Amino acid sequence: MIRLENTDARQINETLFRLRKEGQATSGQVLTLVVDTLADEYEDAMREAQEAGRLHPSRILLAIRGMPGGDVLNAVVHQATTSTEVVAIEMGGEIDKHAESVLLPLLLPELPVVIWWPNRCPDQPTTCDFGRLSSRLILDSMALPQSLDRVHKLAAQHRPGTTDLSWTRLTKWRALLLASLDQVQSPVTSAAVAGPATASRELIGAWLETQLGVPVSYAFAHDEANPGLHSVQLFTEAGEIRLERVSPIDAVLALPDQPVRPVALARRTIQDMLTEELLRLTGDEALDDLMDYLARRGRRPDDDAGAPKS
Amino acid sequence: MSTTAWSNPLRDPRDRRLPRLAGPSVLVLFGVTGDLSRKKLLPAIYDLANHGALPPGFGLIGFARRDWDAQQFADQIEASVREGARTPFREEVWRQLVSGIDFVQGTFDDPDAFARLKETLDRFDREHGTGGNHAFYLSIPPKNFEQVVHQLDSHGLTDQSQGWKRAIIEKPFGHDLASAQELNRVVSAAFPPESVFRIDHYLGKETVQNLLAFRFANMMYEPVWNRNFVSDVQITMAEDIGIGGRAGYYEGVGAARDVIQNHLFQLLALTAMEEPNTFDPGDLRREKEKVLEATRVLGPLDAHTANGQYSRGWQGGRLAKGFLEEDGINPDSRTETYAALRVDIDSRRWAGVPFYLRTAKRAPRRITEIALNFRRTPHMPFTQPAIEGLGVNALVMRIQPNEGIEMNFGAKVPGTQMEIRQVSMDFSYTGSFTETSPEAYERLILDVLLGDPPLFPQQHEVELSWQILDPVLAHWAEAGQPEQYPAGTWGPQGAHAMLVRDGFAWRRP
Repeated sequence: MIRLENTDARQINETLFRLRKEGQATSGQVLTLVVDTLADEYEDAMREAQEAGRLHPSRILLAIRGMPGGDVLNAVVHQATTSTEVVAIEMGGEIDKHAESVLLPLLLPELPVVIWWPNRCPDQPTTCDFGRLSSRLILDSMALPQSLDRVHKLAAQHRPGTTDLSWTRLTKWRALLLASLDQVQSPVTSAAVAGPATASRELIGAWLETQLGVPVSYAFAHDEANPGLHSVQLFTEAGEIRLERVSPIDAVLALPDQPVRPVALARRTIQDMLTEELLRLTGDEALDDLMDYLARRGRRPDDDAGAPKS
Repeated sequence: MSTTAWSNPLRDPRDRRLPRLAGPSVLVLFGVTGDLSRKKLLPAIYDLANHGALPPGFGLIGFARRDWDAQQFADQIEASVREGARTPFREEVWRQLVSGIDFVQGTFDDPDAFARLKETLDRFDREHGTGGNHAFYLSIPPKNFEQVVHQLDSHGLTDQSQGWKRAIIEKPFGHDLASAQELNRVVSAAFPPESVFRIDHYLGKETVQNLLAFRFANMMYEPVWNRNFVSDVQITMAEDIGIGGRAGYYEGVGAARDVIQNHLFQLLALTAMEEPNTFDPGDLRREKEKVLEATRVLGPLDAHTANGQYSRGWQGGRLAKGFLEEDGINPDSRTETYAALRVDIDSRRWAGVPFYLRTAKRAPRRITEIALNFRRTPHMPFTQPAIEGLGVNALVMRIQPNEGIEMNFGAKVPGTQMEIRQVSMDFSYTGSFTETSPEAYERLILDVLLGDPPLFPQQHEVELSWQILDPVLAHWAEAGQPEQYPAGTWGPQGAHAMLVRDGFAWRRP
């Protein structure tokens, strides 16, 4: 770990190059990951980014914004243990306002750049300072208060390339529902989703509305032990399909004329989801369509019921 | 409940986030107590479940002589999974998988056992909604195929009218052209050609598919991928081990049948073929078949083939027994453990470029690679001493271990003198994509369940490969004892002489 005080991008680059020459791994990197965080909340993000970086050798630039003490620019270059390099850059004052000028020289040539906001979200992600560095942006509205409001705001200004981890959280749910319908093979007439009024519940409901073209009802359900989406029901002509979370790792699946059976449905970790996102740098057309639909549909009149207050 | 008319509204081809997910189905595993099942297939099935690639209610039925019940079978699977799976053991995944496991006890000649299998499958279709979709994995010796296929057929287990029925068979696909055709007759009596999946686990490896991406997604390489630039191509699969405990299998089979007929000819086809119109299985297969049809061995076979047997010697610091001293091997055995041959491809792209294929046991190290050696530049504006250290330009696709791509070229040595030396530039897939690649069997089993056959060779390819190889095998059968080579070396003298005559030398991989 090499700490550089009152530094600049050139010195950071030289340090990275020197560590490379000394044989601290790093070749075959596939992307630059920029993490935009604040001073008091960057540690979890750094750990998660590093873990994801073990699967996607990358240069991780951790931008720690809003440092006190005037015009600050310090950097900590971490020695790479795998092919991933990590530089934590503390910025304050005027320098913070021009943070992208610090990052631009440090991006790996030609390779994709991914911006991740682990726990905050600029008002205009696609046009903010970091948003201009790349078209591949990762947000997490579930990490924010009032995620339901947030996901609607994001839908209104959605651009291809932006993803929300609230959507990534639903992949396994969606796969199980798809598999269930493969077995039942019967037209769906309506659907129901239950859980706290969050971005995830809204997204899976909207997904069912667009894919199935049937009415979907939204209900509040909250279980202290098992936060998050509670259940999804599909009502088909052949009977009801019900997928319901019963523990942080299990759900039960009920299909018409079949015994209720356990299915694996572990809650996903941030690291797991980030890894999935970094695997897929080409955007997500299905999500683009969904956000488009959400922006057109707008909020439902009754969806404030059960929204977390904050 | 018709399978053709139904289209699942939740399935969207643009939704690439959802895993490729097998439909409701049952996999019936024959030979479930064998090595392959325990070490590869069962762990691969668990890994698929762990990735969410198997649907809830997926059925796995074991069929074997062993007197087990479903619980004992499940315990065996759990032990295999804990030992062999690539992904961590997770209780909730196991709970889901185990709810669909059953076992049928019986022998291949016992009609009652197959009647019980039928009952079990009917029950799965009723209780798990598997809709008559059944895959039969025949992980058994080929001599039992006829009996098993006949039993399946006569018990109505191959009836395609309700759901699909697929058969999965493993190499070897026969031991010559005639036996391959006979094998095909047996299997195709009960299964139509598109329902027979021949597993060559080599083709499920990521790098083989990377080879297609490398050739056809990039602009840089295709212009030099022909006789104008390439002088010779060398395809090597070497193992550092001997035959180990596989004497029973190996005796009478030998290196050429075991490796060249399937793996190396497939690698040759993928390296030499023209660009397919699309990656549809039909298009891909057509190109592979075309290039195999244009491939022939060059006579006289004495000059352009070589075979050998490893003799007692030091391999990597250990004294290794000679092949003829191995347990279970006839001391007069003529089975080869080293095989090399030159083939030529009659096409505009490859005319005059020899393709050298070799495979060896007890080689110095384990390596599978495809090397394209390039011609010398027509004019060298350097003095002879300056280029003394320059080797040939080479482009090497390394299949295993440490999958990657290597380029050899000349670079100037720093200093006031002009001196050019051979350097190597090495790209390693694991360096850039460290997410562990799926085990070949995972990919292949999932492809079978999805009915997606691009990686499976079909009968015509198998027959073409035998057609190329049969004359060589006949020649060796008459030629007598293969030449000895000490364990731990790169093959017999005859193999080196074979390239020297053409003005080339084997790479040291």
